[in-house]
Parts: sequence; C-alpha cells; structure tokens
Amino acid sequence: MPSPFPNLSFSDIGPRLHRYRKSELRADAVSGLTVAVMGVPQAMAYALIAGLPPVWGLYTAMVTCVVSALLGSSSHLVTGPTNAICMVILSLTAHLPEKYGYGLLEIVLLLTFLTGFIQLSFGLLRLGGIIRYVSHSVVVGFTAGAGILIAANQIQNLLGIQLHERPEHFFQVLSYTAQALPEANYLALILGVATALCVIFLPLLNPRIPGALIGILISGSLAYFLGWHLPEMGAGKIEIVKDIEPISASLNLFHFPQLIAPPPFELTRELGIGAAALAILGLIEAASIARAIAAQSGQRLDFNREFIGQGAGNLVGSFFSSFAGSGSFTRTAVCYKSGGKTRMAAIFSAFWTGATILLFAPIANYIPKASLAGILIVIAYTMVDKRRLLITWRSSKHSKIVLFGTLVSTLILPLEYAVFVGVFLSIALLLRVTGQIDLTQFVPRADSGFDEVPFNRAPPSEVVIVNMEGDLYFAAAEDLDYELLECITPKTRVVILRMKRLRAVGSTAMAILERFDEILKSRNLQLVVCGIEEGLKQIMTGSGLRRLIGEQNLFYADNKLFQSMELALARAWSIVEMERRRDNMPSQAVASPDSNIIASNILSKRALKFGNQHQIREAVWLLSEMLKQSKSKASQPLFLQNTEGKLDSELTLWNVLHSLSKKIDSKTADAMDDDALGKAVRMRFSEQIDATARANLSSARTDTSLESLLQLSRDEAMQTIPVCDDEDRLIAMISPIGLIVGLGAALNFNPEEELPKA
Amino acid sequence: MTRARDLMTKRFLRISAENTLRETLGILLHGEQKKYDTGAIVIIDQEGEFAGIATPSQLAIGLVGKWESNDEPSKSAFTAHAETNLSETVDTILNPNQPIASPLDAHG
Repeated sequence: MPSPFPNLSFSDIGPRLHRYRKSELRADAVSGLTVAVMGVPQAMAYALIAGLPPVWGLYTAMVTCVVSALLGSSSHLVTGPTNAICMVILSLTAHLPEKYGYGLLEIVLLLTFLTGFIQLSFGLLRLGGIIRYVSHSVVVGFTAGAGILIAANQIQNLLGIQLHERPEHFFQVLSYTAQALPEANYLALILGVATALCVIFLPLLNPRIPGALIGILISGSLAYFLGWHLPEMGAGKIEIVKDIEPISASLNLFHFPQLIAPPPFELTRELGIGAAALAILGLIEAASIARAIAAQSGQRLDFNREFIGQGAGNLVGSFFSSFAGSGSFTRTAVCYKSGGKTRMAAIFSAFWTGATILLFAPIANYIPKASLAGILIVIAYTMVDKRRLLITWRSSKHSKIVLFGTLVSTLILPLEYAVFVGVFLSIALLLRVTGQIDLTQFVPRADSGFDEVPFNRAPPSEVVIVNMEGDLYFAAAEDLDYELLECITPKTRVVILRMKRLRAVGSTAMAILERFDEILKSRNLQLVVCGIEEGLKQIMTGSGLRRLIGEQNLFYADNKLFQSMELALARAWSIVEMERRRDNMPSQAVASPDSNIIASNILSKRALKFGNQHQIREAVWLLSEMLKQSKSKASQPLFLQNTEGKLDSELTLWNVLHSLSKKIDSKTADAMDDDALGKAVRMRFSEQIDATARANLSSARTDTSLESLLQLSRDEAMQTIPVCDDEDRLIAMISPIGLIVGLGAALNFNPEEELPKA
Repeated sequence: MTRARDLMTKRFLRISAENTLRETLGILLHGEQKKYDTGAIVIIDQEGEFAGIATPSQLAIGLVGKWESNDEPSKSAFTAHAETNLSETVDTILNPNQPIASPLDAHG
C-alpha cells in the first residue's frame, strides 16, 4: 500500500523494528521513564495554565507524543503540552463557553483538531522550508512574554485566590490579583513555595533528582496528612487536583469531539485565526527544539515530515481528550541527555505516563493546585531567556525590534496575534535587510591594486568605480539609480559599476540600470559595467541592456580577481583621453620660441599603464581596443608596471604579434585557414606578457630637454619615450609626433610655408 | 583565408624620395595641426615605385643625425645642426630593409 505521507513508507516499519536492538530498547525505556518522571507534574501543571483538568495534560503527554514520534522526523523530540501553547489556548478559549454555550473541553478539542489539520496541511504541502525565514528572536520574545503571562496568571493559584472577574489581559490579571490579595491562603502559599524551592534547589544537588516530582510528593503528603484539603478547613482549604476534576485510574481516552461533525460556523470562524496562530507557534517551537537537539546529535531533519508528525499528533489527539501540544524543550533535552537513542524513548515516556495514571491516580488526585502553580512559576522564570535578551539588546536593531516587539505584543495583544506580529516583524525585517544593496567604491592604487572605501568617500576622479553587493531584486532596486548618482563629482567622466557580487537580479533592476545609463548620458557621462557573471549576462541580453550600454563597455567576470575591473578601468581611461582630445584639452603648455623645449612641453598623459602580471590575451584585447578608438593607424605601446607601480617594460603591438606567431613557421602558416591560425595563435594567449615585453627601458623626466629626448630616441631605438616621476612611476609619454612638434617649435618652423610645392 | 588585400588600405600619404626633410617635416606638422593621420608617409621613387616609409620617429632621428654633446646641449648648437639636416632628401632616412607584401599574400 503506498504511503500517503512523503518520506515515510509503511513497508519500512517492519525492517526498522527488526533492526531495533536490545541495547537501544533498554536505553529508550530508561530515558522514557526519566522523561515521564519529570513530565507528569509538568503536564498536569500545563493543563492548569490552559484552564483544563490536569489529567488532560497527561492524556496529551501520551497520545500526541506517540503519534508525533511515530510520524515525525526527530529521534529525540518529545511532543506534548507546552507552556506557551497552553497560554494561547487559555487566551483563545477562556471566554468562549459563555459566548457560545458549549463546554470548554469540546471547544478545546475543536481547536486542537483545527490546529492539527493546519499543521498537517503545511507538512503535506511541503512548506517546511518556511521555518527558516522566521527568526529565532520571535520564539525567544514570545516565550519570554508567555513566561511573564504564566507567572502572572499563576500567582492567584499560588495564593489560593479566586478572582471575582475573569481578566481579559495581562494588566487586568495583575490588577484583579492585587485586589484579591487580602483573601490569600497562606497554607497554599507555603505549599507552593515549598514545591518551588524543591524544583530550584534539589537539582542543584544532583541534576538527576526530579525536583518537581519530589516537590509535589512532599506538598501533597503535607496537605493530605495535615488535612488541609478537607472542607472542614473552611477558607483555609487547599484546592487539590480532585477538586478540579478527579483522575480515575483508567485510560478512558477516546472521546469523539462533538463539535467537529459538523463544526459550528461562527465558533469555527472565531477559532480559525487562533488555530492558525497555534499551528504556526507549535511548528516553530517543535522545529526550533528539534533543530537544537539535532545540532548536538548530528541528525539530519526533514521539517516537512516534522510538520506532518505534529499535525497528525494534534489531529489524532483531538479524538483522545488531548489538547494542542508541541515539542517540549525540557522533556526533549532530558530525553536526549538521559541516553534516548530513538523515537521509542518518546513512546516509552507516553507508556510510563499511562502507567502513572493507572498506578498513581489516587495519589495524584491529592496534589495541591498551589504546588502545581509553584512549579509553573519556576518554569515561567526559566522561560525568560535573560542571556539571550541581553545579547539581543546589545546586537542589531533588527533583532531587537523582532524580539522585543514580539515580547511586548504578548503582553498587550491577544496571544494569537502576538505570534503573527512576531512572524510579520521577522519577515518584514528580513525583506528590509535583503532589500538593500551595499555600495562601496574602489580606488586604484599606484601598485595596480585597489583600495575599497565607503561609498561616496573616494577622492574626485574622472573615473569612478562603484562596487555593488547584495540582492538586486525589486525592493533593493528602488531608488538605486539616484543613490548611485551621489558618487558623481564635477570631475567625473566615466562611472564603472562592478556587479560581480550581485544576486537575484530581476527585471526591475534592469529598468533601474537603464534609467541610470540614460541619466549619465544626459550629463555626457559614460557607463561601463564589469564583473558580469553568466546569469546576469543573460538577463542583460534579454532586457536589451547589453545593446544599450554597448559591448565595448561591458566586461565579463573571470576567475582572476579584479581582472574585468582592470580592463574596465583601462577602457574608462581611454574614453577620458578621447574626450580630452575631442575637447582639445592641451595636456602641456606650448613653449615660447625663445625657451628650451623640454619634455613637459610635448608630453601626452594618455599613456596607458598595465600591470606586468597579465597575459597576452588581455594585452591583445587592450591594444585592439586602443586601435579601434584611435584615429591614427599607428599603434601606441603599453607601458607595463611592476607590483610596486614602477615602470617595468614596454609592450608594443609588434612584440605581441611576434610572440603569438613565434611557433608558427611561414610554410605551416600558408597552409592554415583562418580558423586553424586562430587556434594556433590562441594557444599563446595564456603566456605572460612580461616574457614578451621589452625590459630595461630608459625614461625621461618632465624637465628632460628636447635634445636629450631625441638622443634617447636615436640611441635606444625608442619610438615612444616614457616619462616618469622621481619614483620611476609612469606619468606621461612622448610620442613620435610629439618629438616632431618639439622639433618644429625649436626650429621656429611654420609648416604652411614648408609644404612641398605642387 | 585572410589575405593582405583584405587588411590593406589604399588611403595613404605619399611623397617623392627627392622631397627634403624640411618638406616632410612640414607635411607631418601640418597634418598634426589638422588632425590627419600622419603615422607614416609612403615614399615613391622617380620611377613611381615604392621606395620606403617615413615615420615621425625616423624623421626625428634623421634630423638629430649624429649630433652629440658632452655637456648640457645648447639650443642654438642643436638647432643649427638640425637645420643643416633639413635640406637632406627623405630617402636618406628610409629603412633599407623594409619588408614588402603583395595583395595576395596570406597570413604566412
């Protein structure tokens, strides 16, 4: 028979049972007993939180626990009543019996059924992954708030007070309790405090000592043997479990919920939102606890299956007098730490709980309500994770908002809404964080590296490099174009956008970039884009942005860090130089005929620097780009600099062609077609350019005389002369035509008069 | 297969081998002022055959000639030397080993 549940095959159960070893059986049985010893008083106490008979807590600790363990994913998660869930149940249902005229127990069973149904649906729809988007701060904040509420609600039980009105919210609880203080029962207080002291101090002697169990045994014995539970005590009578609802020594669990066939519309509608909140809270709790234990045990979890387990547990539990449960951190931790090996440990804990009912029900009936309140108040104190609250208070604003927002919501809103507030805050802040792009700027260093500086802090330059990092989807792309404009100064001519660290780029982002390109063009500025990964390239092609920006201004990401950015930078500077020439911007002063011509009079600053660590491929690209942009057919050399930024060598087009054709002899070349020749040439592309370049270059200074420049050109056979500063860093060059211009100026030459006569 | 004729240009400046360096200098400077492409000038001999290519580098070296100075050179001494060379013909600065291709030559 095919399994209706994913990841769980019924045909596996037999082999699994066969593989179940005796040693595991023993370990699980002992662990289950340890959990039950601790869990029985807890389960009864939690039922009290929800305003339900304590025995229902025991039923929940059995039925829901077994079903969830069988169908869930975690080997150690113990499902059953939990404090926060019980608090929500109270908040949701306390007023409903009066409003609709149905019994509280039936209403709770309907709520449990709905909760289980929602959780099961989540699991079957494979929505387990959404858990990761809910911040742990939601759980911490909600649990802390629930702890405060539990403590406030249990003060009345600790003092043996009966409130005259049912409080609607937290502040009313405090107010009504304060008003009823004169009616406090000091015997109840003694029992409650004694139990609380046992819970706090006995485990300090030995962690294995079940303080809660001993506490209720002591207080129950005191109450019983001193007769404090008897009606004869009058106002001093201690309320015991038997007064709420007697526990019978039987397991009469099955009870078909009267309200589910069919469910009353109005009541179901009112419970619907609460059930959804309970479902989400239960799933978050169970998933968080299972994950925390799995981190220690190394088990890999399937959250979809966990959801199914929780949902089925609650759904089935609603037919067996159980209220909504979830993973209990305390019982799960005890299960793991006491040596539980498999999910049978949780099933054994249910078995021992059932045995407790059968064997000890008469004794359990005499447990004072104040003792249970004492246990709950101690538990409530531990629910406020003070360490985590302090860490979060000192950490990011986002975590603070989520945690304290959720905590405050639990105190001022109905609890079910507090869950939604927490989840909403968690997701909203997540979107806010991912909806921001990190912008920084890169500033080229003299040694061919880059410094990364905060956005808009780079010194003014003709070329601005902006690094973009983060998720560029619609939320982050909004206003990005205007934000980018802030880095532009009056000196800027070219903006380079580095997009290597962008993720999730969508169509909105393409529209924003297109708008940015338009704005730049309207200001006569140029956009160059680099670090383009394959995915982004496809999006840019589809949106037409590649065509708009121009292929010559796009540089694709490579494995080598900053490679595409260096090429983009070279392209940007070539654009700047072209503009200078177009605008006839003189790069040097023209010397008067009477003065000596020196290098500074005839140099050109359009010398292109290139690192000497590049490959021939990159040099070929750059030289070809320069030729495309240049009016003259004469090729300008590349001056290479070393890692210290000093002039190292010169690479001309002829060096490159010579290197590329080195291994190809002319006879072989004549027989090759273009493709074959291309392949042969490309094999040389990965060679380092410093092996090909001309080293040991002489250079000039800005004050070198024309005569010395000409001698240098003649003696060193240099067509283009590099001009360096005192630290041998290239700052300009003197081209062959520059020498001619200098000569013309030195000779007072008027070219118009010296042209050949026709 | 790509051949020389696919890469060559027919638009180039040409002067006679008998033109002087003065005239050549004038052409280059005039071209520079007018933003023409003056990277190279083709030199034709009296028979109309290709004689060589004159580049700004070659012209500059040709004008400086064998001029040397032991001390810091003076402008007047240098310019006097350069002016002497201006009357030389352009064929004196050409590379005698200039390689030549034909239109049908392949990439070999």
